[in-house]
Amino acid sequence: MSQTEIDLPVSDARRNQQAVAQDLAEYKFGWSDRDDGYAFTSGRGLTAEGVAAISERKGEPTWMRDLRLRAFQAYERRPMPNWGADLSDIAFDDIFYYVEASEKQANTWEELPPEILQTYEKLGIPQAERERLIAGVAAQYESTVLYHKVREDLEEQGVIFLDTDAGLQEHEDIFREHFATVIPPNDNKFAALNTAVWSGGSFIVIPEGVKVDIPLQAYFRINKQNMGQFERTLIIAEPGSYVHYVEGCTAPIYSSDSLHSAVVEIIVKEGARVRYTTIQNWSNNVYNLVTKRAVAEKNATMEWIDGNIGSKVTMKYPAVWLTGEGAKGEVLSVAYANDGQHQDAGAKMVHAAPYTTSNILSKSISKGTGRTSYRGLVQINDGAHHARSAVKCDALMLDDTSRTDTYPYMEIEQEDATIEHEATVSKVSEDQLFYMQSRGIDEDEATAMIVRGFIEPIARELPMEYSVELNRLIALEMEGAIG
Amino acid sequence: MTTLTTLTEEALAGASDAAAEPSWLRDRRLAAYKRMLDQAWPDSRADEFWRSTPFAQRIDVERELVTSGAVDTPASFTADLDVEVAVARIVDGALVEVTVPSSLVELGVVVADLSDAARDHADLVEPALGSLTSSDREGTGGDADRTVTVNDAAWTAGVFISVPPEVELDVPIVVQVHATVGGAHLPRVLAVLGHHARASVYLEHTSDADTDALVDEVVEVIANDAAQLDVVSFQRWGNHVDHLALQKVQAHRDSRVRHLSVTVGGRTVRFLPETDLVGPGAETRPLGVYFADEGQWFDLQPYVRHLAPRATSDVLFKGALQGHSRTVFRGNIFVHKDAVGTDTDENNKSLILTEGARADATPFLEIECSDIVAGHGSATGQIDALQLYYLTSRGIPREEALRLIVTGFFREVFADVALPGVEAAALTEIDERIAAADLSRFQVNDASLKDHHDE
Repeated sequence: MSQTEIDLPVSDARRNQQAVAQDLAEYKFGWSDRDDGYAFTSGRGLTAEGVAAISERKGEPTWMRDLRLRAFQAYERRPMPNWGADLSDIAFDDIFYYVEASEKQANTWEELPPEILQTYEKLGIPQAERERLIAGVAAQYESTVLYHKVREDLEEQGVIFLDTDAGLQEHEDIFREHFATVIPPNDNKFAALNTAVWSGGSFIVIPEGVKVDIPLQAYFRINKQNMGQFERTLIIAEPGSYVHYVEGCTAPIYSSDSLHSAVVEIIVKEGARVRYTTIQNWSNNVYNLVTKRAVAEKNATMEWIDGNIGSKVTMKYPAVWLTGEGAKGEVLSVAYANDGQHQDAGAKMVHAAPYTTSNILSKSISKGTGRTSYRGLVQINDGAHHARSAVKCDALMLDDTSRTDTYPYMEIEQEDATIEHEATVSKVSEDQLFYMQSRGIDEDEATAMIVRGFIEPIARELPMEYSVELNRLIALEMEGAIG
Repeated sequence: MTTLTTLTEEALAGASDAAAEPSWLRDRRLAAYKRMLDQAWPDSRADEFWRSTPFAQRIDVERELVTSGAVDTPASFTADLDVEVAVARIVDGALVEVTVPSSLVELGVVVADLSDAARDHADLVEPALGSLTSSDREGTGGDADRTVTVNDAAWTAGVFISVPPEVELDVPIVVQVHATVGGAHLPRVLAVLGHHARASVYLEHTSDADTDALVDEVVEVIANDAAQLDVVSFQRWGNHVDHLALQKVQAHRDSRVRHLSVTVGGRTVRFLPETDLVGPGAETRPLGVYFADEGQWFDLQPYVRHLAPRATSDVLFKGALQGHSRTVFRGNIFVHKDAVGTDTDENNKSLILTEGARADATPFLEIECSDIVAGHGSATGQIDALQLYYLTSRGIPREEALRLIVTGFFREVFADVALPGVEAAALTEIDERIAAADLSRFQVNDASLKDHHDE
């Protein structure tokens, strides 16, 4: 399995094709890195041998290799979901399940390869770093975390913020105790796939009582055609701690479909609070099939803030298992589906203890042939007395060709639960547009203002620079919304 | 013995010939039989629409097909009304009696054996029968599953109802379905209302207390332009009956449909009141009340498809649960992209009275058209301590107060249902359930008292 993709002979015709694709990508989207120069790949498609090879390449302990192989079996055994978005076009055998861009981690920006540095410059990371807006950056290039920095004061506080592979190497005991406990390997087909081939992601441990007052951030990018990205994040918040983790994704556009299937596990211990923010902006050929779940123990608070702007298909339902008395879960979710996109997103709240509360607010916008679906579960287990849950789903349709669905599931086993669900569907009304146009605002800007107002309850919860980015992304998507 | 899985082409053709059905109907049964052979029984793990009722655990299809019965049925609740109603009685898989008052006959109203009507009223029956079960479904959900197809092929007791154009009836047409012997029962009802007709069809489902049966029922109703239709379906089965019901209405231009279900009996009831709004300006109001007790499993799936402009729908289902019971509300509203001006609302409220019950709610919306008003809501709660406190502070004994609160909870559904006998009959059923309940086990939610105190 040590062959590298670049050593294969490439016919002139294929080279030309690649060159054309490259030119197109550069012409249309401004930039894109060369896609040769990978240090190691496991090749296209997936076998048990490939899974073992990934583990061997990483020099992992036997238990992790065995876990990967078990997960691979579960992945093969489990059927494709027969609900949600259409996944029939994913060519699983064409995907690179593991790709390594470079053999070593860089410690400063200057050490990064020029191409990668250039990409990150475009994403604005060094600038953000310079301005100290971010506490630490684990910039993920392909599957290997290349650049990694944690601010010294965090280290002094005992905060662990590593890429997940390093987390396994350096803190095996903590890692093994928590890994795959929130999302077992056979939880669902894509969680199983991730467990088999995971690489990269963030490993974070916040010690007891430590409150990290600035958001921890990581940027992820897909850069190789047909390359799946299977990062794995594990966050452990010890009692009384607090952290806000921010994940962002961008990807250049390629001609065939890519698969992104991450798993995020979070353990929020007694009295701790974790906020996890994602603005997902994959290119419109990416299948984004993600499993995110947190366990909130006694009086703990878990907040997911989830933005889905990009991708071809997203299926993502951030979940909170409220296992301790008085635990609190919240999901704020905003989705935007443009032509050809299906955002099937939502939330899951499982109340497994008394006096637990959950709150879900979902805002979705659909345009063109885009389709947004809210799919959510509120489950109140027997014994979770005095549980309370409120769900609100609002959909905004920008034209008559888009589609929006609401699929809320409420499963209540406890007689004194208080559960509420509300949904509305609306469009940008002619009255609103007329009013704003009469004040001299043109139609495009008026529509954009209405959309900004619609998502404001979520945008205001984001860190300032992310709020700006969300508004900018939506403004880009909105161009020509009124045709 | 013939069961739902050992049906043969010969047996179906033979039964059709024995009933002197016309050849088109026999061919249609055989075509359905062929479709059925290509289908498997539902798999609740794989089929999203069966997720809410575990088919393999709760539905036994290896039962002998029941095809003959006697006249002896309990009296219809309409017997207490001082009106003369048309009644068709299906007992143990056979249509045993049809009574139509001469006043209705004079108006041209038909209530008849469906096999006979296929011959005598072929112009009405041929285009309508099976047109709703085999029609394409847009939105979530596939074609009719095997539980419907088997009825298309093998229904044994059919009733045809026709109300001619512009005929308005003040008295209901009653179809009684009664089971006394175990086995598989396949009743079928087809009703056609002509344009500007007005009628109500009551379906009463009953059984002997110990009858262990599967009743797989299909009801198709066509409400032509500007017709006014009420369908009322009472499920008052004994505790050993499993009932699979598809009751589907096609609503044409400016028609007004109301579909009220009262589900209190049965071991498993999977009830699908569906409306296809195919004409502009049509209106449907699927209403439901249900009261589930120990061991009962009610899966209620109102489905409305908005396929034409300016139609309205308003779904309201309210249920109470006690003991180890399970209810599922699985509503779905589909709005086609052509259905501009749609106005739709979907609501489900559950009252969990005692420990051990479970109420699931999945009020779905699927919307392809932006020029609409849509909302839905669902709430699950329990008896409100503040209400109870108020009533008892006025000197009403606690038990009586609990009864009043539960009855009041259901009354919202009947708010403007002015159908003779229906509300009284439904509330009687619910009162009986409450009377049999151990009110001391009712749980009261004190959250409102606390909230009140906080203010």
